[in-house]
Order: sequence, then structure tokens, then C-alpha cells
Amino acid sequence: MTQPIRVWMAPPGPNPWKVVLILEELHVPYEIVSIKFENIKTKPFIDLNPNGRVPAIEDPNTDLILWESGAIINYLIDQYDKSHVLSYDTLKEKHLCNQWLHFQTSGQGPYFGQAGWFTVLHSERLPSAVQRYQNEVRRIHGVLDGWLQRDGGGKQWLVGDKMTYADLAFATWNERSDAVLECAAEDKFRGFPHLQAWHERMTRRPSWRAAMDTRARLMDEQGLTWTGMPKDVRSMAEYEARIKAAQDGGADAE
Amino acid sequence: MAAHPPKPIRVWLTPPGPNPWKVVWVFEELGLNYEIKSFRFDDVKKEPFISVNPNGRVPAIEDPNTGLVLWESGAIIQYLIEVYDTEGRLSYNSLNEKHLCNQWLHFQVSGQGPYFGQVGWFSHLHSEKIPSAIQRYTAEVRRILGVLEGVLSKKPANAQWLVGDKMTFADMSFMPWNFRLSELLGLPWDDVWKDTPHVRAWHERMVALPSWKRAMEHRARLMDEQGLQWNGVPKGIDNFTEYKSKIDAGEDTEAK
Repeated sequence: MTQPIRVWMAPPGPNPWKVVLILEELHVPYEIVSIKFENIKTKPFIDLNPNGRVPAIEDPNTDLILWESGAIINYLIDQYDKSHVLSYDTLKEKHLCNQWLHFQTSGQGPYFGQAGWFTVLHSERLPSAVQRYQNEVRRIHGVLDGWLQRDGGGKQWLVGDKMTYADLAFATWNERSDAVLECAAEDKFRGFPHLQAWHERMTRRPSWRAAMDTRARLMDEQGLTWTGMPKDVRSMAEYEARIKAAQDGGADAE
Repeated sequence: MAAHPPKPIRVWLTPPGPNPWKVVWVFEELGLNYEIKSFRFDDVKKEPFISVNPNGRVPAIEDPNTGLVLWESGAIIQYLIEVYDTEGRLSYNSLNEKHLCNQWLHFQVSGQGPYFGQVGWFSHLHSEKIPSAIQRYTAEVRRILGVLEGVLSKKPANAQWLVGDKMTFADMSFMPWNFRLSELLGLPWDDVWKDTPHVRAWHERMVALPSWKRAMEHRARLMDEQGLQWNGVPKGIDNFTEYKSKIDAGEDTEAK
């Protein structure tokens, strides 16, 4: 009987929900430890992950503590996807899935993240920095859209003919494309219909609904709006001051 | 002694950046049969490479022994380890250690590389000097070095490695970007390492390895073959900004 895997997260960002999607799809029991974003670089979380980034997991079935969403996904697939629902056991397909996962963690996430940073969070508006990262977001969209047209078109998934963890890994950041591109929701994949169709194939699934419902509940529990800003904070400067106060005061500061 | 594997694995790379050398170093450490296909950075998003990697980033490999074409340095390293490190020289087979190595590799590819890269971009390549952007990424570099120092300083003196008590691909993955710190931060090495003595010792142990020296000799030869200066800019062009604008304008940047 599998004991629940503990998933540590701060609910606003996209990376913890990547892991939740995999757990939902594989029907692996899990429980969430939801912490405040202000506390991710303080105890107790910093003891689990010295890098102070979410998500991290604790698996009581193996006594493993692991951080980095990509490594967590590799582990969950290795341990809990023995029947290859979201993966392949053939050599080439196995490594191709991993290749797309690495592209997601190192080439999609950080660049979408910098786009988000410079559009919303940076201390000053820097048009050339915003443009750099928004251009890269669109370039990445183009790479994915182009790949889904391979072999004459009609490809539904990145590797082979089924949905794998490689496809799911891209969904949570791609969902935020409108926020980082500062466009209307219906324009987030404009010009990239294959990308759009692929993304929607995943966001229609019950696993997506379950993850997003949980996220909404946890955001509300922390008094956060959907953007991740506390409901009672009026500006980013005020939010940063609050974060700094929490770091200076240690884990006791709320 | 027969070459291993029988057919050489081809590594596509443009010589200036650090990521291809992460992979070449693993080939050298494992004594694998490989060959380098070196081409110009100007062509990284054009044919023929774009058919090998639609994302247009280096490195990529073609392994004729298995028929696999693979890109993303982290995925390539995991493939080489799984298929060719059967003795576990640079890896572990035990469950937890195997995944901990993978955790550090993912931190390197997603949390070190891209941030060090943004320091390089805003310091040397961006169209304008933006102090707040340079400061953001420089601070993150310092934070990352602090994380590594915190972890290594807590390990036993005879196990100064990220996982277990030997050098693994996890340790190796950090080194090529760390190797650029002096030029990235514009500081002498003593200043780079002033707060992180354990990281310094760990890094210098790896730099001293003959396998790394061989990788850097390959790089020097390939940079020279393309007429590139130490910083990746073709000889005859003054700086990165000028280089990038020539590439964007489709001009010929061959060294004259």
C-alpha cells in the first residue's frame, strides 16, 4: 500500500503543479504542504531544499527527499509508472521524452520566468529586457508548434503516439503565456494552432481540473489573488518589503 | 584495445559556449569513442543543424550504435551514463543516490546555466547596459555559489562531492559554467571564490583532471580554426554587440 508522497510547494508558481499533474495522472496518493512564498528560503523548507525553490517531495515509501521538478518527475516515472502509462520502456523513446523534459526545465521555464519577472516584478520597466524574453517565449512556441507538425502533420504528442510526462511538463508554463506576453487569453498561442490544440488536449483532462481546483483553494487559503499577490497588498514594493521582513525575522514572521 | 563504442558518437557543437564541453568532458572521462562536428555559432538556427535539433541549441549527439539523435546537454549526459557508464564510474545504481545525482543535474541545467548565461548576456551582448538586470543575475550567481558552499561545507572532509563519496556527473555538470566565472563577473579568481572555499577546492580538483584539459585543448583548437578570440568574437570584430548586429543583418562574419 503506497503511503502518500508529501509535496512541498508555494501555490502561485507553475512548477509544483507540473508534479501534481503527474501524480494525478498516475493515481499516486499525495498530500500537499503549502507554504508561503515569503518563506521558501527560510526554515523549515530550506532544510529540505538548500536551494530554496519549490517543489520538493518527501517519499516515505523510500525515505527519499528530492527537489527540482524535472528530477522529481523522472523519479515518479521510474518508481510509479511501471506500466508506462506516461512513458516508454524502449531506449530511444525513453531518452527522447527526457530530452523534451530537459528542454522544458532549462529552456522554457527559466525564459518564461524571466519574461514574467521583467513584465511584472522588476523594479523598473525595461522594454529591451521585456522584449528579449517575450521574443524567446514566441520562439519556443514556434519550436513546439513546428515539431507537432512533423512527418506531414497530425502528430498529437511530442514523442511517439501517446501523451507522456514530456507533454505534461510544458503545460503549466504554457498556460501562463498570456500573462508573460501581456496579451489577451485568446491570443496566447496566436499563430500556433498545433501548439494550441496540443495544450488544450491536456487542459481538458480531469488531472488538470483537479490540480487547478486545488491551486485555487490553496491560493485562497493564503489570501492570494490568482496572480499570487496577497489580497491586502497594494503594490509590488509593499509585497517585497513584506518578503524582506519575513526573511529578516526568520520563519516566525508571517 | 577495441574502440568503445564501436562506431564514434558524433557531437554537434559550436565551440564558444560551455554546454557542449560538459558533454565532451563526460566522453573523455569515460574514454568513449566520439567525434566532434564543429560549426559556427551564426548557423546554430539554420540547416543542417536545425534538422538535428529543431530548438537550435548545442550540443546535440548522433549515436550510430543505437540510432539515437538527442539534444539538451542534461538529457545527453543521462543517456551516456545509462548506456555507457555500466561500471558506475561517474554514477550510482542505488535508488536514492541515482535520483539525487539527477536532482543536482536538473539544478545545474535549469538553475545555474540559464542564470549564469543571463549575466553573460546583459554584461556583454545586450544592446544597452542595464545595471539593474546585470545586478539581478550577478546576485543570483552569488546565491547559487552560496548554496553549493553550504552543501559542500557540511559534507565529510573525505566526501567533498555532491552525492556520496566520489565525483559523479552531478559534480561535473556544474564545472564548465563555473569555469567562466572570472570573465562573467569581471573579477580575479581570488575574488570569485572569496566566500566559498569548499566550492573552490571542489572546482579546482575537477579542473586539474586530464580529461578536462583534453576537452579544453579541443576547444582551443576549434576556436582557432574558426578564427575566434577567447571570448567567442571573431578576430577582426571588436565586441559582442558588433558581432551580434552583423549576424542579425546576415553579414559574413568570417575572420579576415
